[in-house]
Amino acid sequence: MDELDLRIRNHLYASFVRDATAVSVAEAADALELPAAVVADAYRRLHEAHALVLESEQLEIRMLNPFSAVATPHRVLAGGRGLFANCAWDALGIPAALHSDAAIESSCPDCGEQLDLEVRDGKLVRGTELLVHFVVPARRWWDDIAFT
Amino acid sequence: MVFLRSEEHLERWLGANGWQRGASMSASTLNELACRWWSTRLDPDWRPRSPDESQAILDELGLTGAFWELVPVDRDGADDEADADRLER
Repeated sequence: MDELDLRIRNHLYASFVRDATAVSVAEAADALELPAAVVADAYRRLHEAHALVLESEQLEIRMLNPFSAVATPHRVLAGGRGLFANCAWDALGIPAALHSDAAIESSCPDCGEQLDLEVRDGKLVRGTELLVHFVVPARRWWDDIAFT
Repeated sequence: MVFLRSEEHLERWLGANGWQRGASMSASTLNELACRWWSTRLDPDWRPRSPDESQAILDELGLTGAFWELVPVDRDGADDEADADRLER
């Protein structure tokens, strides 16, 4: 990953954390004073490198792991912001990335009941009795990251 | 990866979907993993981790064995190069 891609990647993350929304190629190009075609190529490379996840066949960001750019069943309230995570792991990854306390609302896929977790000072203080399950083995995580 | 209320709920959910059991852990263990995995994600000097660095994080939490191998290990001793560069998460 070269310096240009890192610069663009860091801008995307900083913008997402600030605004809770993913920026478009045009918006990133304007902010970074780069040609849109250059930024579009960087989006594709970052997707291939698994540094972000684009909607298939489009240049719209779906995931800036651990953040989700689309609504999911894993909602995280951290640092005064409401954010969505891609999965259980990412839900706990958001307070870790933000170095922030967080309240997490998820749901049990078996019974559908709401599950509440809370992270304080890096420790899970609510929801400790809950289980997490990984269906997909690690070497296959990126075969279909949305399913994973 | 999903949170579930209990082992009973996990078994019922797997059965309803016809899925084999993969790997499970407590939410507390996952939080430890999340802290190690994601804590540098917003650092200005962030760089992608190597597969070995990511594997080491899993190893530190006892997440070992074939299920947790990020790169399939060739039992003759060589890693699968085709998989080696598609691992950052």
